[in-house]
Amino acid sequence: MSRRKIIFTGGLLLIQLCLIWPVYPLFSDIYPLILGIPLSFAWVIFALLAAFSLLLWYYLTEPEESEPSLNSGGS
Amino acid sequence: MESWVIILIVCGIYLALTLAMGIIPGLKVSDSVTGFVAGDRSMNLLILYFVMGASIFSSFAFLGGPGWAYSRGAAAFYIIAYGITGMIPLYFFGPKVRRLGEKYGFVTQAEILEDRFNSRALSVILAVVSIIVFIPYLTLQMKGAGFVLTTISEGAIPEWLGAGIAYLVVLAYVYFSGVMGVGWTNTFQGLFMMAIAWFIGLYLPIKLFGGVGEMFNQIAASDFSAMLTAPGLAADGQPWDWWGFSSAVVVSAIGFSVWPHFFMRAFAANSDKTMKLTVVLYPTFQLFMIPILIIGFTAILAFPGVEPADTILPYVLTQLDLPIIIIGLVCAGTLAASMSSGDAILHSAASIGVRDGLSKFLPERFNTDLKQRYLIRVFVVVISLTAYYFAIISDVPIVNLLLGAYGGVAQIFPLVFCMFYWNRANRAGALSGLIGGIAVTLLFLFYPEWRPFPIHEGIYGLIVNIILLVGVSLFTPPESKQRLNRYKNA
Repeated sequence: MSRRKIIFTGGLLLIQLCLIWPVYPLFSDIYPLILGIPLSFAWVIFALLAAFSLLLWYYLTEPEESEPSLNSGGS
Repeated sequence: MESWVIILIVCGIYLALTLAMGIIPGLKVSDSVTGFVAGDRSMNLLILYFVMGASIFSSFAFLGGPGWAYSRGAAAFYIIAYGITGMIPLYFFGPKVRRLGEKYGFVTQAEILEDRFNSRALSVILAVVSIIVFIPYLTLQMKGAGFVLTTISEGAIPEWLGAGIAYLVVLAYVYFSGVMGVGWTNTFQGLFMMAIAWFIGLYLPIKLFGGVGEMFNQIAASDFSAMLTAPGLAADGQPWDWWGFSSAVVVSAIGFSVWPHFFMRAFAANSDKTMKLTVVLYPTFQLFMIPILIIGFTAILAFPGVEPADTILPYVLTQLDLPIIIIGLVCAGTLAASMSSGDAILHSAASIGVRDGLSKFLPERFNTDLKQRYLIRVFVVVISLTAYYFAIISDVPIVNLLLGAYGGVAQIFPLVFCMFYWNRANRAGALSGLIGGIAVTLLFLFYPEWRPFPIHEGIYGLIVNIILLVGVSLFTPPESKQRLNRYKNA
């Protein structure tokens, strides 16, 4: 697996963990309010934006000649 | 003129526009099954983005989303949470599925799984499961549409008529244009409901509390403050536990990308790039759940005690001194949410019912492209009428069937994954995994007290599914090399 895929898979797992136990409980409080939004809500929005950035990065760094499959070996 | 008449005129204009947008694209697609089911594999990024987005966000999102936030507080974040990673597998499966579809003529999920696992029975099981899930799903959308029109007309339009009018429009464009009708209307409906959601989600807290931050501050300082702490409340009003929340997020995320009506849109994409970009951009669509949930939070302090919680959005609209035209637009937006999911479900249920179910039992001479297309159209009408019957006439609570839907649909995921990434998976493994997984999910759905831990029944289903899929596959011969190579090199 290429480094790019390892980073992507690791990032994806981390984001998934952020949305469930045991990571989400660390950010499940109301305070601090972030831009007026409770931390518990802002945290989920943050995870959404993180997933968007991760996949966008993965898409933009995709080697042109290689197919985007998990078993194609990357660049 | 009475205010509800103006609101109905706005909804009427919306319905007329939708009908026109649904019928016109049908003139351009070929008169074939591929044209009807997969839009001649010609969907560009704009259309596919809205088809995928608007199909998922249904009247559940528009009515249920605020309802959850209103009655269960932070539990509603689940609705955003599972979609965050749920769509990503399609980034990898989608382009492969699309290329194989183009090469071998597949247009449904069951067709490609049937081919990979060399099993007609698998196709029929998937067709039956899909129809069992889709009819209550469609029924729910119809109820949503009927409910909105009845509420805003102050009862002048009964539910049977409201649901009937909205879904006659859906029936017309799905029947005539197939998936391209779904595509263009969903683009229009998607844009419309996004605009409405953002407007009303920001307008309400500003009007009632002076701003979103002030609204949350006041909830935090009130007796309802516990609602803002994740994971919020369970359906019975007691605090939801992390086991329940986390397992629901995981099961729903796993099932998300393999919902048959969602997955099969990969066959309609015009290129790999379109498919991948649709997945990449999907979170931008999902952001509109933020204002949707804010609507529900706004009502916690402003309008306590409204039952059932799903009626909170129309309730708020009737209580505020809003310009009539705005109320009309919000109602049309709710109709858009209902119809943009209803049309995709109707189209998929009919396509799957014929391609993966009925056609397996018909003699060859009835299986020509033309006759299949005709049969799919007949199914569109039959499924509409069946769902309408359950929505309006029957008292049977079939919508309860949807409770187990996510756990059941998630059982398809291991098969889709192994289709591309595990050569050793074979017919016996796939069949036993799927049947075992669904059986265990249903068992724990109906007898929740038998669960060893209080986690989502779909997790137990997945554990049994994977054990059977791997175990049985290893103890039985693999599929032929030729068949496997098609998928390995896809």
